[in-house]
Amino acid sequence: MEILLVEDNADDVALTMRALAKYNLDSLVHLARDGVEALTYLRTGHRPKVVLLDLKLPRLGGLEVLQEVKGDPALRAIPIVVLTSSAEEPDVATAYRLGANSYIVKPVDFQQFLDAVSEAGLYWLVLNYSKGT
Amino acid sequence: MPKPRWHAAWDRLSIVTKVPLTFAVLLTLVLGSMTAAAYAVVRRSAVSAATAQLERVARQMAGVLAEEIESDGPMLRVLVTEPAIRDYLRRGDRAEGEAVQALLREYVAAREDRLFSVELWSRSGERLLSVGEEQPPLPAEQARILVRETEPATGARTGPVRLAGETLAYPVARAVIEGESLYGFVVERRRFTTAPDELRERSALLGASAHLLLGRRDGTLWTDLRTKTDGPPVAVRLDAPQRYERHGEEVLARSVAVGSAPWVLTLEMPWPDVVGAATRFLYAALALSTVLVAAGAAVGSTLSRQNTLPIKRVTEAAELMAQGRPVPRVMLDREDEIGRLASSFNRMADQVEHGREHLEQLVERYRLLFEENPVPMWLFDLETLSILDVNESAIQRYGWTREEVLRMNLRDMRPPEDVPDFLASLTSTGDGWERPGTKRHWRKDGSLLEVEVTRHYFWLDGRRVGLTAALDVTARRAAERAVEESEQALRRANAALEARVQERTAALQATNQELEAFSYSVSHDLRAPLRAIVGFSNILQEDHGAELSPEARQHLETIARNARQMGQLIDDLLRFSRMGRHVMTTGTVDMAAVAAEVAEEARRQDPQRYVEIVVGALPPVWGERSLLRQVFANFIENSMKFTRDRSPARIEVGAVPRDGEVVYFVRDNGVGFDMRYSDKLFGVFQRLHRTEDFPGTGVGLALVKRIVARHGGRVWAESEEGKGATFYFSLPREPRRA
Repeated sequence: MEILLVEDNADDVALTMRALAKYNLDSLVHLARDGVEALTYLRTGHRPKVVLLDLKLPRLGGLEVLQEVKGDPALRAIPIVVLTSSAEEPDVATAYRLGANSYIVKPVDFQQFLDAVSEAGLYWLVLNYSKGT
Repeated sequence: MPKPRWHAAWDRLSIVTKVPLTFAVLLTLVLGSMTAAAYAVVRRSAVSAATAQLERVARQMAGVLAEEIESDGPMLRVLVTEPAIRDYLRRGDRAEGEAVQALLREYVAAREDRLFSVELWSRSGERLLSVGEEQPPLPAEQARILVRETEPATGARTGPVRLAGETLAYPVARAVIEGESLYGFVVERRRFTTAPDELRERSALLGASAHLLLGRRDGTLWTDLRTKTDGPPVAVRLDAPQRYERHGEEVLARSVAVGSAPWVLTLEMPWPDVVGAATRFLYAALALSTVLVAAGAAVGSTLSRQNTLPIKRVTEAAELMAQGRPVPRVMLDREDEIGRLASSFNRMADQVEHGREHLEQLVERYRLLFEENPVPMWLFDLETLSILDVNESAIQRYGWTREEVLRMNLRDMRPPEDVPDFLASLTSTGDGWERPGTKRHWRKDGSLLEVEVTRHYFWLDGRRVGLTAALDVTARRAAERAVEESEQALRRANAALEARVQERTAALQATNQELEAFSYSVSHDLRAPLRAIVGFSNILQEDHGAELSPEARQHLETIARNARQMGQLIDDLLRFSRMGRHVMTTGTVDMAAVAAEVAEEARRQDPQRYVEIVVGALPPVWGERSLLRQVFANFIENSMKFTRDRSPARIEVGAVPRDGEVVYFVRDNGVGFDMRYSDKLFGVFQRLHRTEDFPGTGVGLALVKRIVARHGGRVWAESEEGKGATFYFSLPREPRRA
């Protein structure tokens, strides 16, 4: 799997998958429905090329997942793109402080959303030359 | 050490007495000792002269007597050789008695003037024959002595003298010897031929009072040549003068032997006569000394008077001065120490009078200071606490009369419970002054005064006294208490207010936190459903558009548009609310650059339109760049929106400096608005145009107003409907004080 999508909202999952489908990236997605699932997935040896991380998640929040991943030497290299509805300044600042590689506010407009997500996926999967590629 | 009484008495004496007394005593001592010494010498010489003279005269007299005794010696020597007498004695031949008697009678007759009789004595001293005026026989003892003394000798021997009537009689014996044989003795019974007066004349050489005595050596008879008399009361010495008392009279006596006779001649001289000259000398010397002492005392007196009288004048003047009476100046025409004393005294008197005047002024000044002082004052005895003096102000303030106050004790002035404190405050200090704080004093009418007391302690006429000044602070205290109470009330009110403020602040903070939580929820939870609505509307259209009727597609489009509109609204609202909590980061902002940047962006947004955007000279200001950028962005976006139908559309950005601030404006030639509603322009959700005509949320200008207000400026707008609008905002040149 190349992309780990951490998202609890089924609608947003559907929209995100549609956006990624635009470049045929949807088949590479593993879905985690909360932070605990995401960490479990990562700690069982999976190394996705990118993690699309929502912030507002049940059980373990996105910022906590981010902190765990970036605090773990084995996982630190995995790029994490925060994909969230929150444009609140404190969230942005905290995410970058914890080591997020990108921060994308989900637009309400569908077209913009499609563009943002698909381009992000394309960038990190295809264009970004990361470790182990 | 106490002075002896004489010393004290001496100290009391005036100098006028002391000086002559000293002179007299000194002279007396000198003259007295000289006189005593001289007298001793004179007396000694007088005594020795008298002694010598006594001895000389006594020896002369003794010589006269001895001469008489010896004078008839040859006759008797011849007589004893008469054979008849020898025979008579040898044989005791009475027969020859006649011839012997005749011989002797003739012998006596020839010398009748000096012989009473001639006697013939046996070898044993027995009287055998007496021729002439018969004399009583010598007592046996005398006869025996005479015989014994005469017997071995060849010369005559004189026997003891005796009184015969008014004459002195004495025997003279001579042994009748032939070869070695003693036959007996011839004894003449003589009488004194030398007249006593003749002897007395001789003694008169010594003065009339000289006394002549003649006595036997064994002291059995003493005579003054006329009658029997007492002898010297002491054992007579022949080798030295003697001094004794006889008949109540002290005499100097000199005794000498008279020839070989067993007689003593004593010449007595009354002691006063002996030392008469010395005594007279003494008297004269004493008289002279007295005169000298008197003269000395007189001189001393004069001298001391001469010097002490001026001193006395100074002294009397000084005594006057001491009594505080007018002092006469002492005028002395001399320049010695006394003159200098007088002039010094005069200067002192001047100074004292000057000082006294000064003192009187001072006293008057302080009397006024006490008596006329508006502060109540009194003077009290520290021992008895009685009031000694009080000023008028105290009388007025406390209500008692002066007489009542002067009978009062300080204890009576205050409530009994204050008395122990009062006494303690008194004993705590000695001299100096103290301010024991606020005290309570009674007035006569029974009300209490609160006074601030100051006490000074000092000595007055040997007593320790205190001067109290009692400032009445009753009214001030009441005012202070009132102020204190109102201050406390104010503090309570302040505290209550503070509490309410804190309460409200806490409430406000809670509200704020709720608001933040709300904003967060909005941004997350409200946007997600909108996104779903929009997204699935689009998916529906994309995936199933062909199956839908044109009307259904139109409905889908409406749903999506409204959802987008709501998303926009939420975003604007969140921005607006964040603005209220935003912490500004300020600096100098190049407004021209910001405006140009925004204009460029606006053109890029709608590259198909031709819009003329002119940016004039914009002075820089102090503020946060991103916020000010948002202001321009809002205004320019607005203008772009409302000039959409204009061709050419024109937007002008400029600035007008005014005092202390800069007014920026964005002017367009758009549709404008109705000035009647201009007050609604900057309110939240207030719109002057229908959304169908010009889309918008009604939040943009409200946000602008809020940003400008945060910078200390104002916003306003001018317009004429259909002819464009001008939006102004003013910003202070200098950074606002936070």
